[in-house]
Amino acid sequence: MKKSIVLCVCVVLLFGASLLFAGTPPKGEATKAKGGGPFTLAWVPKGLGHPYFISCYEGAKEAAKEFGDKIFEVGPDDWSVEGQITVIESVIDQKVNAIGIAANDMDALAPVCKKAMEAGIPVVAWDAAVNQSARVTFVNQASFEGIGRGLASAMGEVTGYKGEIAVLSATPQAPNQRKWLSWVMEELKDPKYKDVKLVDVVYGDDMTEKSYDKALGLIKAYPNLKGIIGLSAVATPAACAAVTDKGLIGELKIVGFGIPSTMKDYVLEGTCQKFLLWNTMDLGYVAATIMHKCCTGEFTGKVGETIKLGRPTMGEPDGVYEVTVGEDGDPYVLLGPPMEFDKSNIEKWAAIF
Amino acid sequence: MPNEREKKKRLPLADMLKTWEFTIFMLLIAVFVINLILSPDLFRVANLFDATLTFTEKSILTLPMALLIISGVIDISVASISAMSGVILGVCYKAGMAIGYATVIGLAVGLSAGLLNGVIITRLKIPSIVVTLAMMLFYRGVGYILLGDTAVRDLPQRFGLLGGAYSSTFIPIQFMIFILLAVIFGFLLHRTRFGRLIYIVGNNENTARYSGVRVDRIRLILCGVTGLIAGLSGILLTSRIGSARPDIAQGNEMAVITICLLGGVYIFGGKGSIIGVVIAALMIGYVHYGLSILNVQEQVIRIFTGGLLIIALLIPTIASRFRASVKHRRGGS
Amino acid sequence: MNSRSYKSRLRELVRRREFGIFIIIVIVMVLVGLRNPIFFTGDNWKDMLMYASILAFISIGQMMTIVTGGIDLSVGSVVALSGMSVGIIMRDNPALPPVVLILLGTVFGLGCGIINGLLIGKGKVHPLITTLATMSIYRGLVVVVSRSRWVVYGDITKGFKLIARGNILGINNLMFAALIIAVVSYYFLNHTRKGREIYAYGDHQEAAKFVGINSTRINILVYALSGMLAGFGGVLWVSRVHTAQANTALGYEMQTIASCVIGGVSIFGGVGSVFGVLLGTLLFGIILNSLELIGIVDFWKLSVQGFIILVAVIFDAVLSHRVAEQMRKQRRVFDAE
Repeated sequence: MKKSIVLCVCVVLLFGASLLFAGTPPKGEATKAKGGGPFTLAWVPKGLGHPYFISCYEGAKEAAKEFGDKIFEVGPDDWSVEGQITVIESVIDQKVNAIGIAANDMDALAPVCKKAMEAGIPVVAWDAAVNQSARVTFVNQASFEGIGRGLASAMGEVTGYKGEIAVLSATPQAPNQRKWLSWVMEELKDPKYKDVKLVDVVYGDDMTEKSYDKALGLIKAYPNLKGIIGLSAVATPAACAAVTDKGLIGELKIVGFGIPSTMKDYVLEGTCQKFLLWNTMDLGYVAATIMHKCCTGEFTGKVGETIKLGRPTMGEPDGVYEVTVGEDGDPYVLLGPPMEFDKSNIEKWAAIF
Repeated sequence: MPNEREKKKRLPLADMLKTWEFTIFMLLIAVFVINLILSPDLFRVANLFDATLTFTEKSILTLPMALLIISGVIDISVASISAMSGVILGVCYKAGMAIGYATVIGLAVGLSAGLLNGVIITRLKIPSIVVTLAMMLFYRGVGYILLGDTAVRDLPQRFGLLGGAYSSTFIPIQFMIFILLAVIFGFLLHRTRFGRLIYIVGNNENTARYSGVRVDRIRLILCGVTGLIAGLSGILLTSRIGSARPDIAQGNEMAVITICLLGGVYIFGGKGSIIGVVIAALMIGYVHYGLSILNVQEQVIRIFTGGLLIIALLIPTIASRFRASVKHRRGGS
Repeated sequence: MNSRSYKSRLRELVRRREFGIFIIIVIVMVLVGLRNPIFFTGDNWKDMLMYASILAFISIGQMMTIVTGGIDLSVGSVVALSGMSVGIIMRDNPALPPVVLILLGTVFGLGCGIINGLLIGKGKVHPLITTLATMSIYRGLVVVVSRSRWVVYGDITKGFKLIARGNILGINNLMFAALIIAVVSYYFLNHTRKGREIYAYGDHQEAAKFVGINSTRINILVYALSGMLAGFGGVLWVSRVHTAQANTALGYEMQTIASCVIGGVSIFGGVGSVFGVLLGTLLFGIILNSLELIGIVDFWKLSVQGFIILVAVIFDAVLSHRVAEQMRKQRRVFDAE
């Protein structure tokens, strides 16, 4: 009896309360979205804490400041798909004007991004895309082919085109990682790599500890290993740490992605011979500029459209970007060729980001 | 029991005010009010129902878990069962099975995983927490073995509707499932003989055994039901995400147990009610929603839920100490 | 006369239990070694033992809580919190000597442990719930203190890296620490009054109360020790993997519990030995680290772990049922006489 009363009271009050809230008129900012701004932009990286995404956000903040927009960073702290979905749900409810996302999974994030688009919030993917149907455009940091082939040829160079090599990647589901890997393999089919053998691909889930353990595992399982390609900015330093700890500096070469400031010591010690990266601040800057232009309605993501940036970037000295068709047939914006870092220029860039 | 009922007749309201359910109901209202003050234009009816999407999968699991804990058993492998069910559903679909059958198989997997837990717990008389700790790893591993480094994508559109995800109905399907299950479980626990037996088993296992209650069978059934609902929860989550992946529902077991305990279920069994658990589930859900609207991070939110849990459990100790000291003072003077 | 024979028999069985784990370890080693001779190289052992060392002493802390009939689910979070705090302090003051950082981390862990102990001992909240709650709280605090910024390789000073890589008396620091802690806790648990009280309390809480054992103090003691060891472990962890992030040591509590269970610590309390836990950790470490060597795909790791724990638990249950059965029979004989 008592319990039924409590239940009834509970339900009635709950509905009463919600109807009360329903009565308040929507003061959503979405209605004035197509106006002049200032806009609220939500910046959603794959996860929080990693220097790579922190430096991307720096670039995004720069662009937002230029336009006088409000930008905030919010992301899953466990770097999970579910966490990212929850975050997007909450920014939709906050009625932000645009969402910039680096997707943890191309398909799993698509439904929620579609929901955002249906609610009138443009979604701009950067770093890692969501499905074409759920985004306005994708700012690609570098063409997959260029990166994949670049990494493979750098590996060939440092190992003298022979010996066993392995790949340490982040998550198997991440779309960019998959494509880079396939281009690495494509490049390795070239006859000049006939003595190079790709023995294994392992995944460290973009977590330093796991990547480190995986790298140790690789070293153990393949005693003749000559090189490791780190396919993410987490994997490469982790592989370097493992190689340093095993005292294999110089014997086991590492190439991959990395952030200059985290990689500086390894490059100077000679653990990592060469690594690639695009200018992360430019990436954030371009993506946030596009987010703003989506809000004003100047940009719709059609192939051939151009965007004029407020400042030149490393890839495009004139600061003009054009929407092109990517390798998979979907339109995107390409940031430009990646930079190569080695002993000669690491000190200079480590001071910047 | 009759004694208590008599008392209730005399002071129904005062008695109700003292119950745990009432306390956390007040907390729920407090959560609503605080949310309303912090973000007034966001807390609207559409949002309120929308918000349930992010926690219904956990909420439906709290119901069988409550029954299980009341009967003196705990299952910490539920999140892994969810993931395994989702993955097996995906694998079956990929193998060319119709999505309906695949869903049924997913549920069956959940049920059998729960029953397996139950058999080991009851037959070998091993503490449930240890058994399910091992099974937690085992079931999670099955998902990884089957899918490895891939995810099953392109699940059909109509399967996506099950998660209620972004259908335009006023109340999400998921939430309706939760309410329906809450009514069923509430009825089962509070209105049937089986429900009474659950309390008896949880209160004193040996007494129950000596008085002819089939303790093991009751626990086995409850383990099975928990597995089944865990499977359902995994399927709903898979449907909402739109792809079957082995890494879903991580850490849900802790969230579910937290909700149960906050809802007044006694960890050693024998006490608890479905209404308390439902209110606690809503409360935790809206605490999460309210804080995530303010862009507070998930792990920081957990400071609040953890703190709530501790406070909730400290209240009886503090109260009894307070009462004791009052009594002592009275006795002294 | 008779009672002594029960005791010696029981002791024999307990001894057999550890002997059993030892046999399993040897079998596993031989099997893995046959599949891949790399297993027996010193390098591989060093990796494995470095991994197992941190796990070993945190598991010893865990064991003490389990022996009292409780459990400490917060150890993983304490590892992360202490590691992150120490990492941040190091980032801001690179000149601090590593010893100070180790002490700081240990003190942070001790603080977390004392909070657990107070809640359990004074607040009379069930250990499982308390540490479930503090697990979330400490984990959340990691995010708060780090302000969502990891401590990365570049932030870590040379001296700090040496904590994990350096040697004392030719033994790696981590292993050295684990050995010292194992010896000290063995002495503490078996040859001091407090240590025996922990077992007595875990064996029969009511009876312990009657002989004047203060339950509050015992609880505070074991959780403080467990937290302290986890805090110490956190510093070594960061030094080993060169990073501290929000999800450091996520789920580590399960590994410590698993090592205890494999090592023959009874989840009912009152039973467990340091030696058993060390063997349990070793077995766990060997299995975790040798799957790659014998060519088992990484995705099987979780299931294999779960399966092993299950086997250990079932083995333990069957054994203890048999012991109970035997004792009951003997008692019947005794009564008849």
